[in-house]
Amino acid sequence: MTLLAVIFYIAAAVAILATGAVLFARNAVNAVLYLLVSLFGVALMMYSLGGAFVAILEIIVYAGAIVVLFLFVIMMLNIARIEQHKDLQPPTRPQLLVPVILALVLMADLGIAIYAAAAGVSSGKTITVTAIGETLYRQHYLGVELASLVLLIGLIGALHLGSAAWFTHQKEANQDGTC
Amino acid sequence: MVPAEHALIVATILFCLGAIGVLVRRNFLFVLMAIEIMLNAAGLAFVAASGIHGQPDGQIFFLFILPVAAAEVAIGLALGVLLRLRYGTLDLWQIAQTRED
Repeated sequence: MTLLAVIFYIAAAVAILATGAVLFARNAVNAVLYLLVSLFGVALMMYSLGGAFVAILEIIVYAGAIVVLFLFVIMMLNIARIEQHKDLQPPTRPQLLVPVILALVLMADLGIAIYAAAAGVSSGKTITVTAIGETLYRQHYLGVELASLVLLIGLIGALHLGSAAWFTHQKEANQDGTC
Repeated sequence: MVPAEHALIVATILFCLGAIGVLVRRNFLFVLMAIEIMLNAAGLAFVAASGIHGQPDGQIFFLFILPVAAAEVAIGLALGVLLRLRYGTLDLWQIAQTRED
């Protein structure tokens, strides 16, 4: 069993546990933070499978953008105040212990990965960024165009729904006679 | 080297957990998170396949999953805000039973 396999199995265990915790979390903020741990675990798995570049992208796009978007919306909707009065109490000991243990295990796993990289261990099939870029822009350039279209449609859709939400809010405010 | 089956098994487990989340949870935000988990598991399977064959195409498909997931979550969260303003709740069962017409 090589060092990369050890990294993979530890990250897989952490990712599966954290994903299970997302499903059974009662608090939305807790669930988002467990999702973050799960995404980091998946990123480490991708690294050990030879995809260093996609592991970085996973952390930047999923953990950096999507999870933060979830947190913004949860803060905006103030779900904790509306649906879970218990959340206002400080977290209990087991509630804190599980994520701390999961994060520590992942950190140790990252340490193993850094040690493996320093010792020059590689899976032998690591795909370089150059290879990805060449294949992406030589063979899959239509896919790049389609991806940009998908992002544009997402932007327009979010803007449309957001303005609809704003008008609904204004109408309700007018009906309440607050304006 | 990690056996290919193990990587695919882990991706399957993550995908099934996401599917369970979509079916079981009633809160709209949790359903969105479960969908993210499923997309993520599909991406992991693509990267694992890329590692098995030593070709970059699997990782490129993961690059195509990323904008889909980003657009999906942007539209989904905007829908969530709209639902919350219109029905006053994010509980999908409650919303399904409420008919406003």
